[in-house]
Amino acid sequence: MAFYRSHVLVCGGTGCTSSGCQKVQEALATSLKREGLDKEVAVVQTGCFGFCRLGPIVIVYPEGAFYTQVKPEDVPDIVTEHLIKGKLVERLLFKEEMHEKPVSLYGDIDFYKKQHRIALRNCGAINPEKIGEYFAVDGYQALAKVLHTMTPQEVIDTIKASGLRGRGGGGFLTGAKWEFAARAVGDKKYVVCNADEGDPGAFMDRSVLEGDPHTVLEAMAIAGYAIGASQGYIYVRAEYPIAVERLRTAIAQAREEGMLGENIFNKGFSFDIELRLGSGAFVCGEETALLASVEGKRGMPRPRPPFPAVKGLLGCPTIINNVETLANIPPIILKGVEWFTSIGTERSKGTKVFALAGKINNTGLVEVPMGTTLREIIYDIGGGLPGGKTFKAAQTGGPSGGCIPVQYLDIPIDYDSLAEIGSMMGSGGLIVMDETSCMVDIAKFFLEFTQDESCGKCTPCREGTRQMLEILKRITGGQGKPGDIELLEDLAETIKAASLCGLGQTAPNPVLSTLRYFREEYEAHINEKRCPAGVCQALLNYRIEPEKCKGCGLCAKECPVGAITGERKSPFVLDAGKCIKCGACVAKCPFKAISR
Amino acid sequence: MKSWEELNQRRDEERSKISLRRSEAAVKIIVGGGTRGIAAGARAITSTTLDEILRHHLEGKAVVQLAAVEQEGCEPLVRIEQPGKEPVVYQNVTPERMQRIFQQHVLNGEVVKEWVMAS
Amino acid sequence: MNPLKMIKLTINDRSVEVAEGTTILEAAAQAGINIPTLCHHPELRKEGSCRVCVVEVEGARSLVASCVHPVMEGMVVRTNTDRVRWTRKNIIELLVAAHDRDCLTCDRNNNCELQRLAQDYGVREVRFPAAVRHDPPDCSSESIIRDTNKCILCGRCIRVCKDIQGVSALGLAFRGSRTKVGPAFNRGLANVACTNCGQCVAVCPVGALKERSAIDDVWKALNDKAKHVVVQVAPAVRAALGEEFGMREGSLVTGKMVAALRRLGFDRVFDTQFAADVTIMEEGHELLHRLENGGPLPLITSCSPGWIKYCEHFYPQLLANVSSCKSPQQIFGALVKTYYAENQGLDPKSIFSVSVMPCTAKKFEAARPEMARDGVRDVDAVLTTRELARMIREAGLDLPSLPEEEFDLPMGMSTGAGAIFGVTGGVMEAALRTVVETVTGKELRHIEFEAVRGFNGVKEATVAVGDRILRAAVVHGLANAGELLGRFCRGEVSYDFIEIMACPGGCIAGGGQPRSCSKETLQMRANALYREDLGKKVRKSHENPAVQEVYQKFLGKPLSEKSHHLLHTSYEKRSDL
Ligand SMILES: Cc1cc2nc3c(=O)[nH]c(=O)nc-3n(C[C@H](O)[C@H](O)[C@H](O)COP(=O)(O)O)c2cc1C
Ligand code: SF4
Ligand code: SF4
Ligand code: SF4
Repeated sequence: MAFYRSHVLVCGGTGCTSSGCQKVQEALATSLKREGLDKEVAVVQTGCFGFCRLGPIVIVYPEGAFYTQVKPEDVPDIVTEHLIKGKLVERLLFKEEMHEKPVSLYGDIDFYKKQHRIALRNCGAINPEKIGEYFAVDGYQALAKVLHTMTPQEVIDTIKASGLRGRGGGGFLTGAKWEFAARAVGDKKYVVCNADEGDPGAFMDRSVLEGDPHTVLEAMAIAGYAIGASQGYIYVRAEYPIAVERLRTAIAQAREEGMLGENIFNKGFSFDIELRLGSGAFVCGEETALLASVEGKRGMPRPRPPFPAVKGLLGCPTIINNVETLANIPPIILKGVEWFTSIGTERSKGTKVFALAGKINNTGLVEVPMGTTLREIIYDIGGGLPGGKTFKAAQTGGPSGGCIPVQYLDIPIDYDSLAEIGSMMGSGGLIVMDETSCMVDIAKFFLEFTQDESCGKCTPCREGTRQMLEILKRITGGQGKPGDIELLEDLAETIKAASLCGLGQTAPNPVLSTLRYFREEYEAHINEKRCPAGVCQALLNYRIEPEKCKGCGLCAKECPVGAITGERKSPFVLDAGKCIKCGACVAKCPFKAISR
Repeated sequence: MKSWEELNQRRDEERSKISLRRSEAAVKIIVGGGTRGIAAGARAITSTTLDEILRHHLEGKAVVQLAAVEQEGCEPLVRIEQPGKEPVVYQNVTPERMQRIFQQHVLNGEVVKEWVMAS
Repeated sequence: MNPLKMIKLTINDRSVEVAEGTTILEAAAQAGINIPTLCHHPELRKEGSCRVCVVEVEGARSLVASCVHPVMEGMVVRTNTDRVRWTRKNIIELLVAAHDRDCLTCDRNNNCELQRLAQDYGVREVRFPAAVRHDPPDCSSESIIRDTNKCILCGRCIRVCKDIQGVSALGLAFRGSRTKVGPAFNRGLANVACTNCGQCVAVCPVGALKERSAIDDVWKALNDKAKHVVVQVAPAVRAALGEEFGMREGSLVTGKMVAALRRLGFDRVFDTQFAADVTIMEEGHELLHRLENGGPLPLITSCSPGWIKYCEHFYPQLLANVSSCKSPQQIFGALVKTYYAENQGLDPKSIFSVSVMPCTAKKFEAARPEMARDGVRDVDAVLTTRELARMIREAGLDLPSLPEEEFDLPMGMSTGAGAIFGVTGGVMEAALRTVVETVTGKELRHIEFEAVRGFNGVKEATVAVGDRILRAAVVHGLANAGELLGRFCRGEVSYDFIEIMACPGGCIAGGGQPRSCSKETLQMRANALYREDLGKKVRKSHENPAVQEVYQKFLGKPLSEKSHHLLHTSYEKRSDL
């Protein structure tokens, strides 16, 4: 057995794969070989570290040096300076925005310090393609414990007592769901992992699958034991090729090691898992649509009851759990209910992973205890908004959620508080918006998504979202009419009340919540034909303010249609009739003399 | 694997392989790198140390780290850190000396006084 | 689910008690409360997709679809609150906005479920821009025209085609507001495994599915002085035509119908039942021949063109088992253009032969190349029951007040056996009446074969034919047929004789019949045909004097060379996509 004095971890999540971690990894391997270090230093590919803005990320142990945005050209420095001479490569070390000195060590970075990683505990820490590394971090100990020392009912009781709620959007109590399925009668039962992750802004499930696939397998086996199932399916979107590959590898390794298959630990319990690839339709994440898709039918929801826990896959009792939900199971079993319930709020226990996106410095994945405030997430962990812009609102829950305006920056976030203010937890997408975001435009964006992704089965969702979108299009296009807001609300209520599945029932939320907090923006669009944020092209009126214009003429050169004319050194004039509202001149003017 | 014991055994084995990521090691052996250290043969010291660790099955208990500590005329330097003990720095270490330092200091806890760097 | 357990709930403050497993919709109906529906159809799998049946249930976050939601103990349901009414109205308005609203010129004007709902809910204005698609209609099929611009995506056609007919020619494509119903890969209906049964047409609540109309061709022929226009009418038509004129379901309007046809201008009004009797002569002897000569058995009936096409697509290996007899419509057509033409001294080319059928597949059948000789089609135009009704209205006739008249002779003479061809089990029963007597030479004392009557999906009977036991099976609805044939092909069952009708209930439920959705209506139509049988002087095909005369004067005997040439055919394998 070789012994390495140093481990160089290179992230290999989808985020970093696209930013070139593969090349960095190859460069490391060749460079180490050239220096004769390949027997002393190991290169380890891991899952995502979550800090995607700065990828690819390289961490060198034992020091824990955190290198960011590493390019293949940087690799020789890391090898000759750090690995041979023992000098940290200062220029690649992560620098915190708020601090002066570079922060060298992984454990010291604000982005990580404030997080509490349960679901993501192994992401970026172990090689997901080696079951051995999972064993090293207590992998499959929870399964062993359950099979050796607990009855199925005790497992269910533990999960119930932990208060764990589904992280896939619904927030249903996981233990209660397991209990329903355990009590339901059926010749066969199934455990299905929902890894469809359709919310366009979210990628925590992908990160878990890519960085720690075994935890999902282990949790599914535990669930199988609890409800009396011997077969599991993971429904994963085909657009996640790395996750799919790692899952395949993990399943094969788990079978080989006896963690899946017949008579696990000689305890008379058998469980196996198969993959099912999804086509990536958002609605296929809805549990009944997902089951239809697993059965090879068109992914369309069906009315509940009967609930899947009673009548699911092939008519048999089935539990469906989200990836992140499952990733919490082994730690709960190992560390106990008391530990888990000490984290979070009264009615939402544990942590939640959020995917930070939009107008925020540290985009990426963060896992924080329930009850953390939006302010902490956005400013302390997320590093605030770039360019010193002011916070306007944050959208949580993706296309099914709503926006949270500035006055709620300090409410502790959990399932119930979000619902109260008209948003929802959803799968954990969190999009930050600043003063340059138009809320009508945002609502339109989300409705475009849902109306496109509606399965088309039921009338309110199929026809209603289309008509709502039409109205929003005309409002942002400068054709809004008095009464449009009321019509939107009327439709929204119908769609929410009468749609068949969660997609339709939540589709109007972005519109309703922006109407609730930013109604005046809608009114400005409709009544004054003005977009306060300056986003809606059709509503913009470009004008050169003569008192600010210095007559440099840069704008006139930039205008693609020659709408700007004038003599140098005296104020230029913009012909609104010719202007196509492309905004090119505004970007060019050094004196900010062009208003819109 | 068919028993919990086996799983525990595997866990311990595997854990030793990644312990350096978890700063769990009982002994830290820091070899003075830097340009001068390397010129003076620090790399040979490193490999000797690694061999010793392997030979005595101390993987997971000891880590070897290079660091840019330098002291003119004293290279190669080796610093041994153990929790709860004063760190000890040896100077002008050769692979042969390293073997003895390992045997005497790391394994038996006796400092090899004659090579300790004068402070 | 325990149907014996009773559940108490309140609907609109009234206490109701129903069996466990009942839906809210059904419970409300039992309490005399009507809830509107669109995607719901009593004979189809419940889908809960149109959402017009929503009701308020206390404690539920959203409204629930009453057509799928089971009742629960202590449930408090309200079907008529402001919120419910206004939500339903919005949904209907949304459907109307997406619907091609040329009601005045639509086939379904005054008979459209969407139109009626819009009326009932007072949709007087559509606040949204029209969101109608503009697809060209699918006119590829001989039988059916699909106009997706009128489709409200209720999915009834998909369910009937898949679940009841086992064909799955239709499905949903695309998502969101682009969702549409159609055959796979946007093909035309003619280019997939559609059987033309028209069950989809029968269940469509709006004008998105209709038969390809032959009305204009028929009027043109009727107005053409050079044409001798003869018409034959299938048995099931007379049991349902009255419904189109507000008559009670199950009214038997044979005589009035004949009167109407004469007044429309047909030169001769004949009865397909006559040809049904000929079919029995041919098919009965074919059965006896196969029994004596080692098969292939079972012999499977060939009267139902929907079934024939299904067999070509899905069970081509059984085509040899299918009787080589043409269907009664085609036998009739062939005899009109030969026997009748000769008799009357007419040039076959001057005869225009029309049939009135309960069936859309008959249109396809009449157009098959196998069904013509030297370019002369056996049947020139096929009208459905619904089309005949329209012609009668167009001609200003009021069917209920017409006198009762008799069919013309000789081809209007028929037996009770021919009449029951229109209901599931009827062909079997008619054949047995003839076959048993032919074999034994003795008169049957009891000619009603009850075992093959009724609406069970699969009916089995063993019948003594002389010293032989005949194992018979009767299936209707193609999914039932497919299931039975599957079992046969796997060697799990064996039979001597199988009757298959494509439509669930037989021709009385054909795709060309007045639209109706209940089993009760079907039962009444069936009763009407059994009444016609009972009322006939002659009730066995081989005793029909006109049939005997055809054999004497023209065909010789059953299975003669002439009848082989004129009355028999063969079919070919088709792709199952
Ligand atoms: C339109 C729609 C999309 C959904 N997409 C997902 C998804 O991508 N992943 C997921 O885990 N749950 C998704 N859900 C929620 C699932 O229906 C289901 O509640 C969840 O998988 C249950 O697991 P949990 O209890 O562990 O959260 C979606 C729900 C709806 C209505
Ligand atoms: S609400 Fe939308 S996605 Fe859900 S079933 Fe209806 S049409 Fe399909
Ligand atoms: S005619 Fe019959 S087979 Fe053809 S699509 Fe309609 S229901 Fe299906
Ligand atoms: S064609 Fe008719 S039956 Fe089929 S989905 Fe459309 S409206 Fe419904």
